[in-house]
Amino acid sequence: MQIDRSEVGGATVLAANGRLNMVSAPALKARVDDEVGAGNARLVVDLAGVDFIDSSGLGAIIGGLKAARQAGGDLRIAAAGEQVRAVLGLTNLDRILRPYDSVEEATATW
Amino acid sequence: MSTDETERTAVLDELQLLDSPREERFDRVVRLAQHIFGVPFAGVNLISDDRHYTKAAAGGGHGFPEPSSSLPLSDSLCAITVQDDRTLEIPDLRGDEAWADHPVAQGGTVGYYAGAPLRAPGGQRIGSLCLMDVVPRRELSVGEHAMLRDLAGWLERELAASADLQQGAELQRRLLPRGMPDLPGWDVAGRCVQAGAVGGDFYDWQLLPRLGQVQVLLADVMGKGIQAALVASGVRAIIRGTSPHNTLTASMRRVADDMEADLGEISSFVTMFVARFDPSDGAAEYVDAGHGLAFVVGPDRSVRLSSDGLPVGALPGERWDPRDERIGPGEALVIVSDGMLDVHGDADGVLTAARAALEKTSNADELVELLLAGAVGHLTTDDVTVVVARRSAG
Repeated sequence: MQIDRSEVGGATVLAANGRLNMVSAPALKARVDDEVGAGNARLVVDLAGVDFIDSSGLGAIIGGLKAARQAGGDLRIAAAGEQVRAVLGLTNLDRILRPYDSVEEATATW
Repeated sequence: MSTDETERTAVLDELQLLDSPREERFDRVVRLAQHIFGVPFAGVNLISDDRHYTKAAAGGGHGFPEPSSSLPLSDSLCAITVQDDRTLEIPDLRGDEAWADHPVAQGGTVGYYAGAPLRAPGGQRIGSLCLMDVVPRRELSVGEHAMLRDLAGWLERELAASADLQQGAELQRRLLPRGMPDLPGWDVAGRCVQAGAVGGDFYDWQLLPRLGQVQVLLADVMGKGIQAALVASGVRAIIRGTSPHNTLTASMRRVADDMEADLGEISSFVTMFVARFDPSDGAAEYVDAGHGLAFVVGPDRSVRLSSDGLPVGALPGERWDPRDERIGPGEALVIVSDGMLDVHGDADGVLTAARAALEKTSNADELVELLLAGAVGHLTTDDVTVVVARRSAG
């Protein structure tokens, strides 16, 4: 999985691509951990390029959220597709991981 | 050397476990055992023809065996445990005349001992899951004995995985409930079709006599394969042990607390739906930990049961408060795993299918089979599990 990094308004944006599943989830989790370890605990995961997420992908994002919050920051998701939103709704995880429409919106309140 | 000893040693050679390094999949179980029973030491010990090898230990040292260490058989109580199928329990080792001559009793470190024999896939007893304390303890209750046996079952599944994944899957199936509770006016059924040899879905039911309730649950561990199955076994053992004595909220708290470290380590979480009902009047309560796929279907209504609880392991400190419901005459509680979404699209689709299946069938078993028949053969990479508690119309 290709993960592109950029910075927007003081937050670090990680843009994932393709399918976020058992195979690719560990790579995303590792990138989030690296960023948090480097002191960048305000993170946005841009899901615009992700067309499918399974429970392992969700696990990586939740794991990243916990790591970011422990470091005093937060992890937000942006531009999630229908399938991702449906999974978040079903599992009630949208309570702690509100889907923002865009990266700009996700970083607006930081 | 007796036939038993020869066989045991041959099996241990085959499994290549003697002198093998520490493995998290065993360490995790002994940590859980130590925590659940509140003992200073819990270990997995393997018994060959000439020595006792400690494969895993929580609380080693201070006179207790360290992980990856060996003892002469004469200094081992587990060497006696493996001679019988039953759990060997000695509540007061130093005060028990029958054991006065044993080196462990004379050694003075051990006041309490309990060991559940561990069997290899072929049935040979090759070791023991043992608990030890420095002071004497009260005897294990019937429930605690069952839980120790459950944990031993989990370890046995790990032993089998060393040899053969397929045999591991067979043992996992044995963790699902077999006998149906005898409940006049109700029947309960469930089945799990796994995508791989082993998976992270499971269901369970149990009577809670002190509370006058029956508990039915379905859980789905994020991820697949052995790792998910291990977590599933842990969740099952904890909730089975704690539910008879605790409210739903407290039982969920216990599962979340006990599994937090294990789930965090592998970035996993568990979605669960747990319901309790009083069979005399159908009064029910439930918690939904991010599962989202539970329904009551009946002749007059079809509803999805949900609440806003997070999955277990998603964030620390979550609290699951039950909601009230009633399962009326002719209605059924239907819980399915998310593999069903591959077939029916969304929760509404599953609800429609469950409602239709209720009409076409006359008992819980048929309802489960009909729902699964619609899913099996369908292209799904996920496990598909259904559990049903159905109340008769009369």
